[in-house]
Amino acid sequence: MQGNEACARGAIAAGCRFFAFYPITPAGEIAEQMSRLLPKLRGTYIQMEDEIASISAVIGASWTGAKAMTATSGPGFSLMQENIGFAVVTETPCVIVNVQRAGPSTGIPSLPMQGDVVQARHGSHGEYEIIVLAPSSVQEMFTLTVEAFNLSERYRTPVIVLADEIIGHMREDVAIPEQSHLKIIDRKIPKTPGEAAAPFLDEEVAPMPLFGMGYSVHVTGSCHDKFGYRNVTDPESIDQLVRALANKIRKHIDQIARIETRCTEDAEVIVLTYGSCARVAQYAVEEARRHGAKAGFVRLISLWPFAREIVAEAIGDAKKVIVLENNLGQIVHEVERIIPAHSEVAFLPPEIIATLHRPDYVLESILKAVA
Amino acid sequence: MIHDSGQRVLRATCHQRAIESGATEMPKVRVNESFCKGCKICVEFCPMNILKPGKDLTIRGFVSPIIVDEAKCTGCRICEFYCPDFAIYVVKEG
Amino acid sequence: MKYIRERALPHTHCPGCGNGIVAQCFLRAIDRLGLDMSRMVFVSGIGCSGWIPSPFFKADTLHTTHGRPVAFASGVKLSRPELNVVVFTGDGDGAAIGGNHLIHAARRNIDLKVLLVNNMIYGMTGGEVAPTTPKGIRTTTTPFGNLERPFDLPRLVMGAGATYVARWTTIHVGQLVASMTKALRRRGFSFIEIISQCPVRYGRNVGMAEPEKMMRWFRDSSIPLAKARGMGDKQLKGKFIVGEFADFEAPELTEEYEKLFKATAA
Repeated sequence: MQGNEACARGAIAAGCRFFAFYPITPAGEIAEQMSRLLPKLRGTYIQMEDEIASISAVIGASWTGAKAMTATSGPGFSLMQENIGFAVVTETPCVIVNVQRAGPSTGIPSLPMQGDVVQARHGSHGEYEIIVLAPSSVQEMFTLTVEAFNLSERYRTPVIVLADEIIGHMREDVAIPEQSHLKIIDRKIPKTPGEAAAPFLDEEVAPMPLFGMGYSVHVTGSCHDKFGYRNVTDPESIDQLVRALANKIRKHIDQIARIETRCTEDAEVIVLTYGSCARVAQYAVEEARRHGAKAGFVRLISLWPFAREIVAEAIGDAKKVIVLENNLGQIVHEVERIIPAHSEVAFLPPEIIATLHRPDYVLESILKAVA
Repeated sequence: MIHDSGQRVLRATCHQRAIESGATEMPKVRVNESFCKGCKICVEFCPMNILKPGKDLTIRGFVSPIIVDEAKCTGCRICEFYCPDFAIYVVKEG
Repeated sequence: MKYIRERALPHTHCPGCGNGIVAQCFLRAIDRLGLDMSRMVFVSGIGCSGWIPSPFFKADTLHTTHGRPVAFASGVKLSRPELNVVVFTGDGDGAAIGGNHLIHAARRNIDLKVLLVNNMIYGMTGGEVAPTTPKGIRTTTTPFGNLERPFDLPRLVMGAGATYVARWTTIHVGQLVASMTKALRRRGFSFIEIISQCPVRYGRNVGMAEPEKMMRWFRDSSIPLAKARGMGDKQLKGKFIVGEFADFEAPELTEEYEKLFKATAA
């Protein structure tokens, strides 16, 4: 199955019943699948007039209770940023898939790059936290899309699935579990109608009143209090809002963060990476071990919020961390911030950006570092 | 000045109705000072000219209208329809 | 009063602003039809018109980013077609930054009621020129006079295929309530442009700083559509043509989706 198709199937399995899209390479196949799978489930596929309309419609649909998703690539992702911020501040669950392509600007639509990592974290204006997941396989395009919906429902936040053109277009075997075996999380909805319950700014996640159920909920992108009423005069109100929304994510980092580690216990050199680069890294680490080098592998499955403690722990006593990214250095700076004193960080992009690292190139770097 | 024909008809009908209904059910104008913003639309559009800006300020610092000749009110409700602030309305009191 | 959130009052429009008249007309239409506010969703954008339903109407209200209420509303309506979704927008929010969403929603004939309050200026941000400002008018960003021609919004929206199109001004309260009532009752994309006074940002520039002066100007410059059809361009220059420009039936989008659901379920 193709990665993009697996992503669509994951969304459907998670309960997604609303998908708004504007055509862009290399995300198109996600939309094709959704347009085929949704109607018989009474789900809506709509092709909007641009990416801004797509994310807008997704947010509107989410407020009626629908699990809603959109998919795009770099240029569309840039357009969506304003409303991603709106979804953050209104605590609207939704999923945005960004199948990264080579950029900036129009770039090369059919080549992979990992250039949107910092943008996924900070793309919208203002101060906020957001959850970003990075699939490394077709299987993960399925499972992490399900995860993305679960996290967005649990924490009432937009979640970004940051794939790239390789993961989106490649084909691999996928094991699709029985629906009953999947863990699906739904947002909490207040039990009693009426304006009594405070629908916003709870660090433990407020229940979400839905439109059309008599809650008379007021949703606004302006600075608001926990009842949703606008306050644009007092700095205290924006202080409360910014902190509460950030803490909602930060306080739960242990439940949100996901990494994969292999052979890190006695590793002297660790290769740290995410997304499609992880496939090369995994091979290179295994080969290095075969050469007798004490190499370890750390794969970030969640990129943001960056799990500092978990990553520092995984690095352990290793003397060197080689960070593989298909860009000029984005996640590496987070690693540099938390690197233990006894260790150092090296950044290793592919010899040619917008291609996968050559496995031997990575292997050479590992062996050189151990020597 | 060209008058909107609809408005003229409205005025005439209301005045007629007021005369026909006699003195048993006279319309009264009520002003909600806490909503009024002193824009004077009601003052300017009253066809019988019975509203004038008041002398004192409301609690919000605006000059709300006062009714100078309530007997002349025909109950046309133009003041009510044109008020942007839900601050003036007409009631029928027997 | 039963339609208003008490704690949100008093509302923040400038004294004399036409927004309050639009709000009143709308609530009268709701009252006349006996509609249940809990089955309504109000979506509004950024700008003075955005403050008509938000936060004042006692119902579900969604105050979106600038220019996007029609797009957000489309998502709401498609997801819960049984809700009555009404968009309040302005000339900048709806026809400049939001223009693309407006014409596509009209093309789709999605059952949204779009009430566009046109004060011919960007009021909230300081009186900048708008795509509906008449040519030659001085604004804060056209200090030498506006060089551009304004939109004819009914024509634009009709060109996009809207099935109900009307234009009134804030002086035409009776006709406005009637149009709003019709829009609320029917199914399909319904668009009403309401020319409204902005005494502070527009009126002051043209010697009509008092709201009643602007409203009298609307009254004296309005020409009913039927009469305008027999008049030449020179006679119509600077006039507001008011009336119902379009009113016909066409397949509505959520109904088309329902057909698709039934066909694929089989």
